[in-house]
Amino acid sequence: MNPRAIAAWSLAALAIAVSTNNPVYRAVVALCALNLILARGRPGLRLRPLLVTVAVAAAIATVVSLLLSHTGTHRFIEVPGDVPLIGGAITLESLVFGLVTGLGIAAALLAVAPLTLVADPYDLVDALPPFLARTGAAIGTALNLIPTMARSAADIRDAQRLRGWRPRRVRDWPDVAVPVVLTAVESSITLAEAMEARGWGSGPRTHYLTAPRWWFDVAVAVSALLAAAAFLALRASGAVPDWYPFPVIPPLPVNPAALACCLVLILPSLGPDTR
Amino acid sequence: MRRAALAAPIAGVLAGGFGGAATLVPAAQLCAAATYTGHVTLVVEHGDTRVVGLCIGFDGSSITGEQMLQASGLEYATQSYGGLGDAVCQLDSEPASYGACLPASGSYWAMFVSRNGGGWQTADRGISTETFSDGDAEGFRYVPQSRPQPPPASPAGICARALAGPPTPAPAATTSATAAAGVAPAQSSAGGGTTGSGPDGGTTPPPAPTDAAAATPPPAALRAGGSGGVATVGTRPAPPAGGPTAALLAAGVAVGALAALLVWRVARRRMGQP
Repeated sequence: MNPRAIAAWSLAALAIAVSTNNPVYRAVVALCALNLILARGRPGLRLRPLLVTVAVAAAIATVVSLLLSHTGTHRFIEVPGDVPLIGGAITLESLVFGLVTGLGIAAALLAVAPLTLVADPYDLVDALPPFLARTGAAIGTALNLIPTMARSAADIRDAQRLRGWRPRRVRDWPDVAVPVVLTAVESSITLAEAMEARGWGSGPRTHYLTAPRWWFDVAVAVSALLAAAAFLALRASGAVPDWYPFPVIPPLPVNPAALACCLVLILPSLGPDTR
Repeated sequence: MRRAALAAPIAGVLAGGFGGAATLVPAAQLCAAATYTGHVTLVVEHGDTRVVGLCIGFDGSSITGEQMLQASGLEYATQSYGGLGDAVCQLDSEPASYGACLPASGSYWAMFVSRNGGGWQTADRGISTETFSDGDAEGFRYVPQSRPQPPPASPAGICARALAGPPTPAPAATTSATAAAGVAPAQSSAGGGTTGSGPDGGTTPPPAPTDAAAATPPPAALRAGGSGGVATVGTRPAPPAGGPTAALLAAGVAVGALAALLVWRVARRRMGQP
């Protein structure tokens, strides 16, 4: 898919996920994002790191809300009030609130995941508008430095161990950290010289190969942005109210129009394969 | 605290709360409801389906839910829930007594809000933090916890009828105010309540329970913030059996379909298919 279409879709999905705390809409956004990743993900894609990250973030939000929010009618246990922070009632309503908050975090993370899991990073940087081209290149280069530094750190650590290095204190780790930093600086200088040799920054940005734009990509981008705009309009008008499980868990209000706006996000995972 | 310039009856209620019935504001000082800059509707539906509808006038840009209850003259008791605001534990003497504001079983007062004539929505704040502007409505319904929360009777037309009514003559209004003092709501004497209110600040005993037969509108001058107010007392048909709405069912079907599609894609991926 065209990276700009993916960016528009992610923006729309993120806007819907963060603008409401209704778990129905958040669940629909999350499921649409997972479907998109599975349908359009790059070859060789591994989802386990993403899923683990999402699960851990959601679990932390749930536990924090459960322990710190003592509001609610249906109480599980009563923690003595002398206990700091978590002292008080542990209620079903706070558990539900934590789960809803975790679902929101998961939906937001999954909404932006296609930017890295579906779009090629180089195509994504290339798709940036001209006034963001230099900033995008700098950010992309910096992000690309992270895995490079990780590999360099592992190599240097193994080399030091072959020389008899055994870390026992925090003061021993500069033996690895300093070479890693120096290696990263040297790599950055080499990269800068390579970019300058290829004329980067000497004139307007050129493209070796422009990502094709199919009618389907345009349809995905337009429909996603319109759906997000419609959803936000419904929120502003009061048709999509907030939902809180306090003091008792109320029924979930679902607006058919808002639900339809969320379901539009499934479009890119159902369309033809444009690869 | 918002600087909403509330109606004189509210001031009269509060003044009476500090000094007893003798300091109630005379009816001559009560302003007509129509002269207020804003009007909101209060609907209270009891567990036995009795409905009380009141039109509250106020000056300013907004009014809180608790100020509306104060202006209404209805007896009420609340409990604070921190940042969420105060929840209503007792309203118009129902329940007659309570131990916990929101019991784990039994009934409680569900709060609803209506914005600018729209439909009822479950309130996400307490009465002390929920604010209302001209044309909005605040609703309460006494519902069992084990059942869904249907909204109270519609607020449509209550303020329109109140504003269209003829002004109440001064002597009659005085009598009404005095009569109101005689049945002034009082602070709940039951345990668990942390706040109570009434025109005389809780020094009079709780009023006698009202029943459907006592359909006489309460004193308009005091209840509706001025002359011309109307209190509607009546019953409503038994609501249909509660259940999930069609939209909620459609949402469930949609989520299930998306989940099934996801499972299908995972299965294909594991089988090595694109």
